Amino acid sequence: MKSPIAGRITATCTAAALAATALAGCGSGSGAGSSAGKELTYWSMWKDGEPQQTALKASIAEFTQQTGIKVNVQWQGRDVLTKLQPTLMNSPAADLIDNPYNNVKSKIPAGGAEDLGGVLGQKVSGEDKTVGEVIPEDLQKLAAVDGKHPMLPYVITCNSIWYNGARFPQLAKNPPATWQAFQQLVGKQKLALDADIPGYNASWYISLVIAKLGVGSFHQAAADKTGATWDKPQYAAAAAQVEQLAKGGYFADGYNASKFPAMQQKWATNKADFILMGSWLPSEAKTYAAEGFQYRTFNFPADGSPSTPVACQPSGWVVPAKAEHKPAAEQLIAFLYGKKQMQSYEDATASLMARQDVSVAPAAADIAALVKKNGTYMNADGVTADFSDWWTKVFLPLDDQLVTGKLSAADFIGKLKSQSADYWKRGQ
Amino acid sequence: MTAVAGAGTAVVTRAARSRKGSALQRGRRRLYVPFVAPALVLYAIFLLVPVAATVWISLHKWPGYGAMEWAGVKNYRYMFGDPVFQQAFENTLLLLIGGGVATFAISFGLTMLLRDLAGRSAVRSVIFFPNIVPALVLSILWGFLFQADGLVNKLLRAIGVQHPPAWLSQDHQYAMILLGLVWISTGFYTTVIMAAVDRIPPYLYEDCLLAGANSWQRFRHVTLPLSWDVIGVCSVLWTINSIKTFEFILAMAGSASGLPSTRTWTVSLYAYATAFAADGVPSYGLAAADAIFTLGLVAVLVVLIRRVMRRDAIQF
Repeated sequence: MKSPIAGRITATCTAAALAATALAGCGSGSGAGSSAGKELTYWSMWKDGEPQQTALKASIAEFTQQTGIKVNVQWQGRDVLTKLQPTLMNSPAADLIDNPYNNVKSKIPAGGAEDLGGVLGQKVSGEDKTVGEVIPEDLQKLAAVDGKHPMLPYVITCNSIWYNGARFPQLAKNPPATWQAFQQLVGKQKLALDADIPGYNASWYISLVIAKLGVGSFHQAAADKTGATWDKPQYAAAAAQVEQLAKGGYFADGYNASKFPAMQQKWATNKADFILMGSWLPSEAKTYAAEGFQYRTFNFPADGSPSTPVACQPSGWVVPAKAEHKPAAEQLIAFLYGKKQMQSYEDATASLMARQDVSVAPAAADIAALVKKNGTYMNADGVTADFSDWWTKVFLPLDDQLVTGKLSAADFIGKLKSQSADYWKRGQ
Repeated sequence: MTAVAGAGTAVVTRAARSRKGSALQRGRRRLYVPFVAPALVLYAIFLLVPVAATVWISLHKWPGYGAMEWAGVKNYRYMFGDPVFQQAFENTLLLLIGGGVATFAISFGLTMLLRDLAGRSAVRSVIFFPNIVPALVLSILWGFLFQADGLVNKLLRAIGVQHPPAWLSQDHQYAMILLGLVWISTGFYTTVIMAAVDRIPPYLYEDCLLAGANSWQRFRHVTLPLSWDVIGVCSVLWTINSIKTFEFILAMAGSASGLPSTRTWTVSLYAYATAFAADGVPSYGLAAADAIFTLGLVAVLVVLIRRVMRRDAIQF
């Protein structure tokens, strides 16, 4: 026989379980099934208050006004994909997200994201052109994975060497085109580098490898499980150039013992002259830059390789393959490629947009021109997406030591080879 | 015979009654299970089941979605063979032992210094302050103080040191993190130990003075034995906290654009980086193996500490 107390407990537990189930039901899925096509859920990589968020919020409001499709937006922040991941393969919690290419390629499993190739054929709202016609072809290729389009890029960030145009007016017309010319230029000047950020350090070595052997060469060496590719003399030569920068006093004093953004601040206040950095630099530095600072930039100099593309990473739209409101999400994507929307995003953020026919903010003008002229290749030669663990555990620690002068070029290559071979042998 | 039998019945009846207890005790016993059950269920749901699930995940290769692939002890074998994990484990031990010795030595020193100080509650608040400041704020402060052109080096240059140390260089980065953690923790442990020392009757110290005991002898023969229980609890807390240390290192050595250098990782940071790195396929199996290892390490150390520090309680 059940005691009254036990009965009450059972009833309470049942009620709690039902409530929990109801709550869980509310949290799962991307919206009510009955309103399919009239709403969608978008999880953004931007946070409330960021200029990108402000611009997108206004565009989304306009989209809702024009189409009547309600967009449930959550400004989740950069790790939006990590948050979405547990629901991705069953009942995705969002119909649309945005993220950088590296994350999309490495974190979304095969079949997890909708191939947005169909959206490329859709007309941009209010225009005669299709989405595929407004995104340059090489950018479409850069953001593709195995010929498919799990992501459509809307903004790109690119690496180049930045300087204050007010101090070096002659460089706008005559930027150093070769490594030799660059060395002559920086012989009397200082390079800024916040060496506490391993990714920033890595840009120097990778850029030098690409400058010698061309796009794909760093990726090829990283993919070699025997480590033998590192024996090619050009890899050692690139390391020797980094060693020379480190030991020759080219980097501004204190670069190896400061905390970001100390060195970037030095550069922005004219205490250092050049910095190898992403195109987000002007927006980061604007609060502390010296008065009259003119953000100018030139491409990383060539050193043997005939082509000199710019290291870039696109960020863009992703629709989970199992999203509930795919058509609405795709409609929003096509809408956001409208010139007006892209221009308002550009005006708010001074970014490099996927559409090349928008008017570019002065701070982004050089890099936009470079991308147009030289084309692009994937930042870090695509290694961070394909061999992320090797990158973090083998390459970056050794590269950090090379850039800070703790390791000679020969030792760097020797260790890189042996540690890479050990790493792949261990396997996971 | 009858009398004996009667006495025997009386004993049995009394024993039976005492087993059943009074009506109140019987009622209490009946309610024991319904009252304990909810807590037990919650404990099982929120602790035991997740631990069991973590053990299960650690035996699989799993990116956090889709089907799990059985891996047996592969994750553990890989982890123990991974030089980055070995370095992380070394760092954790360094923090646990080196940081622990430093924190407790300073905490005791401060306790002894502050014991007879006027306005010590105000001083105690000041010492405790770093404990409540978020790690991110402290990391900014650390940068401001110790970077190449920071306040410390400016002061050193002002007094004639031509080449002050590169405090935040890679070689010193973890030592600076340890320093920061000791600085943060000292206030907390000083406060706890001081509370224990405050309970020691002053006449014991007066007696020591009359007997001519010096400060070390007072500490060794009065303070230490009479606050031993609290020190035991503090040791357990330090062990758990130091092995779990993660966000402070992330804030101190990491950045918005990525993880800190592997040279500063602890076992907790290793688990985080394995499961939540910005790029790359997450390895929940490996991260879970690390978490189980950490849990085991904490459990073994806590049991050891409790055994080593077990003493008869001193009444005073």
